[in-house]
Amino acid sequence: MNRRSFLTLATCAAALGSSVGAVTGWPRRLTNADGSETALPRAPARILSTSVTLTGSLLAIGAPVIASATTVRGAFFDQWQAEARARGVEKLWRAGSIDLEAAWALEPDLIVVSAGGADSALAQRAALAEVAPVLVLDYGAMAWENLTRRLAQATGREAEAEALLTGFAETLDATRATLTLPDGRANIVSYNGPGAPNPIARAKGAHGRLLTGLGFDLEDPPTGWQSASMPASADVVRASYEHLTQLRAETTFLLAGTKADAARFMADPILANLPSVQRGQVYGLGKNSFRIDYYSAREVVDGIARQFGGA
Amino acid sequence: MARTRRLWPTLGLLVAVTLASLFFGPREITPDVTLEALLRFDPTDGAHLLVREQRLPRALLALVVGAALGAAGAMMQTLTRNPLADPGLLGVSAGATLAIVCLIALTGRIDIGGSLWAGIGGAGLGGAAVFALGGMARTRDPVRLVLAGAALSIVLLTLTRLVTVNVEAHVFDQFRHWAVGSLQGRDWQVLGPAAALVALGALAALALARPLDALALGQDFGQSLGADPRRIWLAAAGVIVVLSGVATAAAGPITFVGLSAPHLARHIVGPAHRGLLLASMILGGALVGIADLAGRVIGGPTQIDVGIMAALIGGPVFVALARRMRMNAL
Repeated sequence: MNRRSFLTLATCAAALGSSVGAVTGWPRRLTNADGSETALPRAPARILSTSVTLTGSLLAIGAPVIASATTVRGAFFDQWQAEARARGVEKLWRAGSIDLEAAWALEPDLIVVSAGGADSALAQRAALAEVAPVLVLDYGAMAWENLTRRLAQATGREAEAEALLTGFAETLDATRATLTLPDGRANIVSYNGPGAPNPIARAKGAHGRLLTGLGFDLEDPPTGWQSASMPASADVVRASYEHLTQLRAETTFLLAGTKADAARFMADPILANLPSVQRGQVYGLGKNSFRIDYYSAREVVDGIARQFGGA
Repeated sequence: MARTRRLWPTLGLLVAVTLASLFFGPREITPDVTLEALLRFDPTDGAHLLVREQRLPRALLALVVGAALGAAGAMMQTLTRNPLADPGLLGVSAGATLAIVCLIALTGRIDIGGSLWAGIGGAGLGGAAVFALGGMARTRDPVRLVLAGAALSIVLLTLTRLVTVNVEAHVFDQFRHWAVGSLQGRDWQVLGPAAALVALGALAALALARPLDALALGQDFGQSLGADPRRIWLAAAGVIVVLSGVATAAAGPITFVGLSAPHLARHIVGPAHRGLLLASMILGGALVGIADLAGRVIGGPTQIDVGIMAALIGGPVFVALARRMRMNAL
């Protein structure tokens, strides 16, 4: 009862906060990832998303996305492509090949750009700004919930965003209550085998927080395992294959993995001594679990509920 | 005979590099644990598994791949009478690369058995195409041959890239490492068949040593000594295709080793092919081993792929060689 009433109270406070806070009406000034500001005269009605990652969060709050760039391979993310189709979102260019003429033709009134990642159009920011106001967000630097709130503020859909996030928090709590979790700790590995980096999710990253929210105790990989010239991201440490042999948790989830991947992981002779492999407790986190947004987070929670539910 | 004795130090270098590479990797394993893994293997110890199942086959594969490239390069230089001949320059590696990449894109997985045959087939086609484009059937113009090889390599590698960007995301990462030349994660499954084929190729190459000596004297002179140049040519070309195809399938395209190792070898043991081939194989193995080791040590936690390191080390070595020796004194 306490948790539920606390949540309700928190939601009311948040709703109140956002309505009383800095942004109430239009025009609005939005803060970009680099600290600069973008002025919006009215709530956008035709949003162009140049980042396939940001599109998911826009769709989740019901923002009027008319077109979105795709992945490098020309697809939308699986977790929300049905939603995008239903809403008639047009596929624009593939990540990395920005087509300014297409942007002009669509006559958007807001263009969202990611500051980093393969789907960033930051280099074309100035040219895009001639088409419509540009909002730059760094999805790598914030939790998906905060990203959702920032997009809500830009589109005037704060109430929808808070309802969405509250609903999600409730689902998380309700699901946790039904789970019977294995003993010990858990880790999340993006298993690519010996020829490639094998990113391990950090306890405070998007994936780590999601599993913590479901009651798991996460094994946090040391940042010294990062095997790339760039520093470890907030979400994962890009460890090399050899470091996988040093994992200690009793349960392993495979990022973007399925049952088949779990079988492959357990059959890897070099990983035979991992506590999770010896216990046979290796599971796929779901094939859309690599990038966490509202849709993929729901899929992960549902997947865990199927695996460990029924208490 | 006195010159073959000069092989021993190179052999010592090869053994030293191979052993050293067991002790380095992203996960720090102390030397005594590494030794224990080799001498008193305990399968329940993760570190032991890593040494036995990853580092050991990888070190041995560096040796096998380097030997194949060294021998193939030495034979190519003799056959084409061209000091710049190298599987990486003459379209053979690029042909193998494209064939393997197409196979992976079609089947969606990297399977060493299929890759080996695709590598050999592609190497054969690539080599034959350069041979035809270079007009080698009519003239023996080394410049034309190198130009044809460079041009075809660029075309084949562009096609490779085209296929690469269209494969599934999960295949892509593995694929990227393979395509720059990587020994990371190559285990016994790769080593077994690769070693067997390279051993056969090496024996065939050594059996061709005397005919190659005759051929090196010049076609007419060789013929007067009783060598049938056409048959030697075909046999040697077949061996080159197998060796470089297998090397490419096992480790991805690695350049400069096939070029540098024979030149170093010639410097040490002279031009007679028995010694030259042996020395090229040993030095090729050592060069790949050094490149792989250096990629792990210099890169810190990041591993630099052996293909990149081989080019970084092999390039300057080659320039130094070219400056010190008269390269056309083949």
